[in-house]
Amino acid sequence: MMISFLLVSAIGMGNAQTQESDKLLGVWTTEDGSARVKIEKIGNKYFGKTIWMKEPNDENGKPKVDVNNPDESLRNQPRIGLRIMKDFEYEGKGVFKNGNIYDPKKGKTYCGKITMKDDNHLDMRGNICGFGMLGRTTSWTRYTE
Amino acid sequence: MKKRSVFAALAFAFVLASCGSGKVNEFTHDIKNVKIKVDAPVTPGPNTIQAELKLDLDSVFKANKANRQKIKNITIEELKFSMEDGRNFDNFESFTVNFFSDANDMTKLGIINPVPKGQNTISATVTEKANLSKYFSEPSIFLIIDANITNPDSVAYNMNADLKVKFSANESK
Repeated sequence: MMISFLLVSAIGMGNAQTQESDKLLGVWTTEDGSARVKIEKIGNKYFGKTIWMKEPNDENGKPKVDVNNPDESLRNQPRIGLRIMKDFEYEGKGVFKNGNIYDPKKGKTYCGKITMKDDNHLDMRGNICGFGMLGRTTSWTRYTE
Repeated sequence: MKKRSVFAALAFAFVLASCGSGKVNEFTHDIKNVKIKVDAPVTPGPNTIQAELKLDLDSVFKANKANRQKIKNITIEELKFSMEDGRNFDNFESFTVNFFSDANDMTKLGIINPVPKGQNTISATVTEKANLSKYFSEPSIFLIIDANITNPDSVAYNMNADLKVKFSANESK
């Protein structure tokens, strides 16, 4: 009886945690409104892909590509569709850690932390890996059509 | 002097044995009909499509008399996708196929760009024959497809993936 109760409680807690972490899923608008990022779950990790840009084309009218990527072989990949957030794991209490975020404007990758402020707002912190103090936090808002 | 020679010969034999003179088995295995569903409504633009690969590797290795604990190399040789329900891939612009597991980074396997028109079966060019052994020691492997979809239909897409995997492992005793 007691074992059944503990088992049911554990399963219930697991489901509740999944529901809580999955609030991160969906489309988010970056702080400056220049892009929308779709956050998805693959396995037990969270990834984000740019799906919309306010200015999708370069000065020649061609779709922007990842020209600043430090890996030359990746400089032709389109900015729209680029997976800029990788490997975030849910820690609890609305916080996701151990991921990284790529800034295509600078071609740099930062260690990331996401804190959900509520269901429709999150703080995205990017810092130089190993130097938590050296970073920047931006606020993203859930995009709804 | 004689003792030293005997010791050297023994050491040489030990080195030879530890280098592994065991025979290496190479074999291919077809993973067929991996079900992939793209739920409706599908949004136009970049989409991530995922499917978990379910494999009974123990049986595969046993059937090929290979030791699963002594894998040398695993590569993907062929990647093929087919659309069900009499539909084709005309709404798909590009297809990039990746491997992923929780403990390993995503690895790009192949690409189809542009996706040929009027086809209900498409094959990806395997761009990188990376050693995927580390993925096959994980409990779950995911096939991740980054697809650019234009003018999506209002109904879900049902696809199948077929993979030809080449294994190289020590022969089992």
